[in-house]
Amino acid sequence: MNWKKFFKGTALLFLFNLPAPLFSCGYDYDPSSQYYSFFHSTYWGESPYEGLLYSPVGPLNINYKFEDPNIKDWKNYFGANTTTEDIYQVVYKANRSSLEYIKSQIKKKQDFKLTEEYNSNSIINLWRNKEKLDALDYLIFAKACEEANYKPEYSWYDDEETDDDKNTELQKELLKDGPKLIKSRTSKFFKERYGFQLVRLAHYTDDYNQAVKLFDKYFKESESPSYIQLRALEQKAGALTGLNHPQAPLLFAKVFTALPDRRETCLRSFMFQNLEAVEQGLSENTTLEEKSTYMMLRAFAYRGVEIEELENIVAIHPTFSFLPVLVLRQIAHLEQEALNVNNANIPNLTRSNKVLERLLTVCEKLKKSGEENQRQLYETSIAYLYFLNSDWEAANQASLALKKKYKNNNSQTDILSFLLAICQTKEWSRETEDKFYTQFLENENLKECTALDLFIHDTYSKKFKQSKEYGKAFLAVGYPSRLESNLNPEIVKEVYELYQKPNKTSYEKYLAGKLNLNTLKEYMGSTFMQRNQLDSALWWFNQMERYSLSANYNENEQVNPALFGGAIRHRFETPFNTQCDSLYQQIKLLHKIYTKKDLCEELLHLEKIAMQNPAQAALCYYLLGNAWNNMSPYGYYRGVMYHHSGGWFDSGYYSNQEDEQSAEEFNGFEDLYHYDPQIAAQYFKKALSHQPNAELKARINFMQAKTMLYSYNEFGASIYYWQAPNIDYNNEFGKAYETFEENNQNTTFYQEVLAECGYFRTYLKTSNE
Amino acid sequence: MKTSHFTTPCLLLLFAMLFISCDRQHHVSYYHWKTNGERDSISQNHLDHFKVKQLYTHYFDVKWILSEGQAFPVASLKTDSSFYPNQEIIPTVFIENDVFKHISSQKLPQLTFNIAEKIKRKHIKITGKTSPKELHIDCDWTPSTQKLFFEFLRGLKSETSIEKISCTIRLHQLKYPKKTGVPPVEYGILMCYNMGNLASIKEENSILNLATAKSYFDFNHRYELPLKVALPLFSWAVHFRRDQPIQLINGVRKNDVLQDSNFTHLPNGRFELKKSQSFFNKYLYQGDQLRIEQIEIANLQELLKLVETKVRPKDFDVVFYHLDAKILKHYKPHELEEIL
Repeated sequence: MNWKKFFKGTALLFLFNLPAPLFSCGYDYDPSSQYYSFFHSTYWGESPYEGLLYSPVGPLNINYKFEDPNIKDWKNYFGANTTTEDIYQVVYKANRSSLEYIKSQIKKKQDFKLTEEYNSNSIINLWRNKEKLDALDYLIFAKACEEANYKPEYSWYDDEETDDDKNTELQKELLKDGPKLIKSRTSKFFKERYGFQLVRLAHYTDDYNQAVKLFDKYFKESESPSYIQLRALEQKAGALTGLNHPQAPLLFAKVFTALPDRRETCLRSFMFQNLEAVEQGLSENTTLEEKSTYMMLRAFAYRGVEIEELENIVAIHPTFSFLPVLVLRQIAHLEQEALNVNNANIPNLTRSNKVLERLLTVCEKLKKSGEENQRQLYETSIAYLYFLNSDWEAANQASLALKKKYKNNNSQTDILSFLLAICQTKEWSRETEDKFYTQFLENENLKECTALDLFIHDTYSKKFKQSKEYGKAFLAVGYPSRLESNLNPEIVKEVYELYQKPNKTSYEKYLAGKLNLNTLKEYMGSTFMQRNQLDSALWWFNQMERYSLSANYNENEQVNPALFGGAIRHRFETPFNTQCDSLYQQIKLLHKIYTKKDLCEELLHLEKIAMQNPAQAALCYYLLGNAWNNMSPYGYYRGVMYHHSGGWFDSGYYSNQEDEQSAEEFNGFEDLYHYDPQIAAQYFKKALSHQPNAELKARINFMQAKTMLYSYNEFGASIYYWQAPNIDYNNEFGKAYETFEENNQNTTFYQEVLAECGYFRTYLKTSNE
Repeated sequence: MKTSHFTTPCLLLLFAMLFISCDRQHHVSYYHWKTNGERDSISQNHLDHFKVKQLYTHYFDVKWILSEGQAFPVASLKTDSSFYPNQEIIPTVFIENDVFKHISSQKLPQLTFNIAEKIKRKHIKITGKTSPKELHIDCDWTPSTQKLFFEFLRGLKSETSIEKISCTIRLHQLKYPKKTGVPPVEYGILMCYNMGNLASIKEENSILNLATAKSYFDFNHRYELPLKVALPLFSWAVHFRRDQPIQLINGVRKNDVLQDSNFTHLPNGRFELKKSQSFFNKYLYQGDQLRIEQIEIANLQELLKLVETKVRPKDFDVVFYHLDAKILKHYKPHELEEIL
């Protein structure tokens, strides 16, 4: 069986089948969107721990960057004058034929011409001078092995024999030549490298026994094996997997701990082992180090349970050097529950409190019997665990003891005592608000903790909400620009008042720093405009130094008068003036509309004509109804009034940090604030009361129905004509259709609607059934 | 004749009953969805019992490989001419919807060609015949990929000159044909499984949940394609840790955990592990929970009744998913026959 393919295939199946990803890559994951991690993983995660720390998206820290040890080995071999780029170019990038060409030219004592990039390579120049030619021979052999091993990862002939057997002859030849070459070399550097190539080649040709034999022949047991020996060991582990040998996962575990660059591959291989057989195969000869490493990997795989493996390891090998990794990972799991950003109170640990107790016991044991240089970590962990368990008294005592013992040498203690002070404060006042924020700003250890920064703002926001200071509550966690998508008049008003407020606290100063007066005035004006209080809106717009349409409205920055037109249906990719009626052309507008101020003036102008000129009243009110309908969330000109950079309204962004009740009470980002369909409906009603002619009346009736449909969809329901016959017409828009149907059948417009409007046709079909 | 007053209606009734009973006889076929084609006696027994003529045989998946910027086959069936020689092998290809999200219409003919050629090569190897009579395509297409998928189906027909092409129909596609479209094929196979939310702790059985199924069958239109109905026979355990889904453990059935004293049966139906141990070659920890999802014959019966409210019984055949001794050993052919 081709195990390489098997692993690849299984890995794919595995990933495909998993409901939640174990491995992930390609984007930066931000755990702060899920929970606060105050216990600095990186603070404790000095090498060699860093890459092993917990990441909420996978078993390993995916952002960990490692140095390529192979490049380092080659650098030692070629000497200090050789750059990493030179090595990369020759060892990884160059192909076999180029290297063979160089060799043949050297043999013929002839110079060779290469492309510009290779000419300046210091290794090539060494070869020109006939130095380090062993490397050239080896690289040619290695490239040949690579070719022999090569099977495209993906191919339309993936499983077909023609490809499988392509490289067999080359493989045989290399397996025959390799041992001779090893024999002829004197340096360990090359002997090991040839050995690695042979073990890998045998493994990839599915000759597992041969791979194991070759490894045992060319690599001797060593206290400090070289990088390439460990790479060969990984190949041996792969071969042993093919032989179903229980030692395989132990070897993968060994390579896993030693080589950061192979961790992901080794863990993946480990996860596909038959652990049942492996555990039966753990013999008395297995060392404590091997057993502990095996248990640690078991904890890493499949989101294992660190606490149980910690207990297992502490029982047999309390000085195991990776125990801190497991402690830190288990703490991160507890933080996920206790410090979840959605928790109403922090910390809040109920489900995993037994795990916490077990971890406390483990840390107490390790404090006594663990490695001396890790004691500070265990002591700090104990204090932090008390905090996670809301055991204030024990946490305070432990925190004080830590401060006394380690003085300024433990930034984690600063964070912990600050958290304890905030969480224990029952009475919240302007003074406490000021005190904590000042303290936060003045202490570098606190300021550097990103989770603490987020926590402070969230905490302050919650406190402000409790005291009904909604403007401040909003600003603590959001930027004013986020208001653009859903202008809540109360919040805008409070935010404006905060800006004007004298004697601000340090935190209020921070909040006010987020504001821009001119923008605030526009928001103030817009809150009035969206409620059709145009005089007040104009007052605010007139206070502004500059004013504009919504930032996301982008139709040449000028509103087309078609805004006042009525359309049976519209498509957003088609200009609206080609889809709507042209009745708006019968009224002369005051000016071109560039800003909301212009628009307010125009809307007032139409209303004035309607009142002064009864003959034009029906038309003017119809145009006004159209304008408000077109500016609704479903209208073509929705961008004029409402900013919606994400394509839709940002109505719930704040509620994810709220429980339902307070979300209703506070967040205020419900639909109510960005669309009142009654404004358009009232204008259509007024239009009808001014004796429009039959055709205009038909249009008004139809637009009324359209407004009602938008309104109905806006408040939770989603009606689409293809849902027929399950649409419930027993509501306002059903009635509006009924009115349109009953009163306008003799008009031309009715026929147009019949031909164009799927919603109306569906209504007719359903109501006639 | 006097007796004719009695005998004629009786005979008519008898004929009618015969017709009705004929109507209810669904022809049976199976999906073969494994990567190895080894035959076994249990599967053969099922095929013989139902006189199965057609085997929908999964040849390979087609997956979009982001790093390569193109689609490739994966998880291919590895077998030879000893593969079920008595059944008509219908090559079946699963194409990830992602393929149609990424591919451009210009590159679609190349993909169609690659798939058609690979099917031909595999088909010769497996059956010795140059061309199959029929092809079956499985793809969970959506409104956004509908256009390209349908274009692909048309292209496949002209590329292979195979007259009969069928494809799978998901329940949502059945319910919302106007949104997702009706594919240009000869018939569809309605997938009556994997209908729930696998990852949700609240789900009871994501493979087959009658309440969920009912919501899918809540429509009044007539689907514009003839349909066969695919019924699930597989089982698995969904492994949860701290209420988070960890992995699927294939083949686990309730008996496997009921017979293991290390599991506690919780009131919510899940099974909790008392002490850490290996189970089905996976390592599970104390406190981990398993939700066993398996299919009972009675549930299949209910499901079929539900299907019959929308598709006339005489109009559809049944395809069981899937031909695997590990699964079929739990279902006797005559038990399955009772539901048909």
